[in-house]
Amino acid sequence: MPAIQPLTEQSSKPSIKPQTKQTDSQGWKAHLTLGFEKRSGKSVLASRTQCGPLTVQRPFYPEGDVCHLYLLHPPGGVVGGDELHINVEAAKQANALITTPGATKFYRNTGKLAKQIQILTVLNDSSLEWFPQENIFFDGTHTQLTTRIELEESARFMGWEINCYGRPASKELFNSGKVDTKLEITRNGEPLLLDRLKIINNDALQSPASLAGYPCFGTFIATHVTPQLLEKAREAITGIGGNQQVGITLLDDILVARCLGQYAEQISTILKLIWMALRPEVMGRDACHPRIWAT
Amino acid sequence: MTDSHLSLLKLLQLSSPTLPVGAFAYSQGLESAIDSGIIKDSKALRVWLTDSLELSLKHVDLPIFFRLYHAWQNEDLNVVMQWNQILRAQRETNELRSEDHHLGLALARLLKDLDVTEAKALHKRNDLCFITLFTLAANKWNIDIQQAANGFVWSWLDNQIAAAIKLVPLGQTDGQKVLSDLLPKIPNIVEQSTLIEDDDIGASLPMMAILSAQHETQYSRLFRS
Repeated sequence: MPAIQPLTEQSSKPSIKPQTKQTDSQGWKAHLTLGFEKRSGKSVLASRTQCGPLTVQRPFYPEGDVCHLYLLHPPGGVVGGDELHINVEAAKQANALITTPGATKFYRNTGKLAKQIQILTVLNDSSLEWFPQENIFFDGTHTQLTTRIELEESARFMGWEINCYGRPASKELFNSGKVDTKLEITRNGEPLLLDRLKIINNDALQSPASLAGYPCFGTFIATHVTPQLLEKAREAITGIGGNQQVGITLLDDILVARCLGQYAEQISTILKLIWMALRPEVMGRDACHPRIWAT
Repeated sequence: MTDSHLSLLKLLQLSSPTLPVGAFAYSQGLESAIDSGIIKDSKALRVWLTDSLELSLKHVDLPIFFRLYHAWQNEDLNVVMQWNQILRAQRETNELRSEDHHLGLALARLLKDLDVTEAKALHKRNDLCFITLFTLAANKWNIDIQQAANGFVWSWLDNQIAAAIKLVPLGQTDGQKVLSDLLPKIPNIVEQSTLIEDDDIGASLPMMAILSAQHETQYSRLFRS
């Protein structure tokens, strides 16, 4: 285990271990562990350990306390045999928002699984917002993507996952391969939502009950949502044009919005509207778009 | 032989549409799928139900069914409740979850009145899944695990077809034709689901989940949300 690198906002460059990429068949074994804490009224990236090509940019603060951080994936995407672990913990009243500057690409491989495992832990009185840009699963990829959100009682979370199968913009359809995505939320160890989608070749893409011919699927999640707030989220997207399909539901206090669309942007546009409608009440502040979204 | 005949009759009782749990009041996204024009005829209905069986029930309901059956057999209520919570967390919408809990609670009450002791401890919980109680009854009534699972899937399918007959609408004979076409698939699906390991449990149907969420606010509907 690499030693924990204390890191303050002003502090030094990240220490990156020597490249661990050995051969194509062996793939990257990358880890990134981020710990957020509140210090002197400001949420800071208090610890970081890193091994391999996963890294973050310097945090910045466009809205006071909240720490905005950009996560960078290995340059050139994820290939068969790669194993990427991302662990994020928000503790001690920290408020953090993580996004990525671009899409994550999972390339065609010969059947050697590419794995990405993301564990997002939020402790009491802390919050995490998780808005990575879309995952693109190339035709022929074999990928397993797990996102587990582990919450304590008063931990607040909002986030999304947007998955695109094939590259619709390039007219490349997802015809073969396997993508197994899991999205799990627990509170105090109890499962609140276990969502899993297995795409094997193009069966599910064609199925009218599954992806129904839409290549992109987004899921948005928010905690601490009341039935009144659910109505607000539904109102926020009423009358929006377009051929996407959206459904918003409330599971106990967890709002889940699902959206099928032709393009990732079509989905993120809808999910951002929901985020904007919910953020003032769930997080106690108005939506502040990360600068990178505008580029 | 009389014992096996009796357990067959018990399975018929448990799977019957007249079991007073209120399953007939729910459509599981079907009403919304029909309303939005996705299911217009018996051909589209056959595709929808086949996909629900192959892409969902086989990977979620059935593997958990077996685990619950064994947990009741071992009289391990902790394990029963763990699988109940896992099954509950797989239900994608409030509507699907409420349906499962209504049916689960109704069956718990019924089993209590039929003197199934274990149901007495459960009949006030509002987070029970229907399969949790179905497997309890199957255990107590000495119904073979695979037969019970086949019966469970049959009762689900029969209920969906009954809903489609009202909604599409379809003739009774057309409904029976769809049922006849799909019945031969059930034993295979049950058999295949026995091979699914803990780590492989889980599946969802995005469009069905979206339609079910839309159904929660559908203006005029025959079926409950």
